[in-house]
Amino acid sequence: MAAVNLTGFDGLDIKNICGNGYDSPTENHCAHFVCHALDLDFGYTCKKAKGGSGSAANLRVHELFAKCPKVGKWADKPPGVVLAFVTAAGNVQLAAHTMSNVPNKHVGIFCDLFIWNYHNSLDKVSKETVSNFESRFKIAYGKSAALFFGTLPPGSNTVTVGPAV
Amino acid sequence: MVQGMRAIAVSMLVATLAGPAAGSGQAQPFVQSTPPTAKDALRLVMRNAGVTLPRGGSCDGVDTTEIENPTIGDYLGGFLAELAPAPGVSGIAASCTGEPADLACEVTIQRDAGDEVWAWGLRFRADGITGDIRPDSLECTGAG
Repeated sequence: MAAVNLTGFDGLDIKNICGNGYDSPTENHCAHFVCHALDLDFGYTCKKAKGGSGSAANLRVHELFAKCPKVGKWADKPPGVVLAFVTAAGNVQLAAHTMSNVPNKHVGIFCDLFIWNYHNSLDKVSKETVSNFESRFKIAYGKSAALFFGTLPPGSNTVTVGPAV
Repeated sequence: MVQGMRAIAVSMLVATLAGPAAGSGQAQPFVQSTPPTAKDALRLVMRNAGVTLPRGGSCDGVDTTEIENPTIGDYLGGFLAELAPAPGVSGIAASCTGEPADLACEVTIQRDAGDEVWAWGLRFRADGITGDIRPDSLECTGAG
């Protein structure tokens, strides 16, 4: 476990983040970015998918959601750093702690008022306000898209935001 | 008469999808093109649609509706169903390479529409002569 400054990821393409060459622009790299930033290597990873000698990072939103110790509606999120998930509300079963593996789902890291996430259409990491994030995905996924929080899985890096070194 | 012709047509279709003709004396391989085509890769997954996805690896939890023990058909059907007509680019990439008795194949369903970007599919090895996919070779691909 280490401390990671998200500012260092600002504007980066996934090819500059993943050391295993899992960087096709046709893929959704949202969970991939989050798991490299937090150093989470459970489940299906870029290393398993592609081979390579870089550090492994999970690739899938529904696997990440299931690993969060606490999940819930965004309005109920605890203070501090959490994961921000967005998908149609019907794809999430909070009691069962599961999210269906539908293609339209996304995740970022909420820290210090912004959600840091991978913009697949631009192929880069950037931050945005919660309201911009939500409205962007209501356009992309439909009006039923809703935000959910997840507390950081055990073993995650601690997250800060500050001037890039 | 019409009913009889229908029965013959149905048995021919079943025989085609079942693989080499049994008892015909001259079995036709399931994949006949050299090199194999995208259509061959798709015919292979359709023929093996009832094969259950392996557990404990890349295919865990991949079904779009959380079916327990999903098959190839459940998995790919779920993502194909997401390609409802809408603005953006959607498509299926399919290919096989290798020797007829041991083909390495990949089928990927893709969509790119602004912030909606995804690609989910299957990698597998198959016997192109019998048309059977090797269940232990199945890898569910996709991220996000």
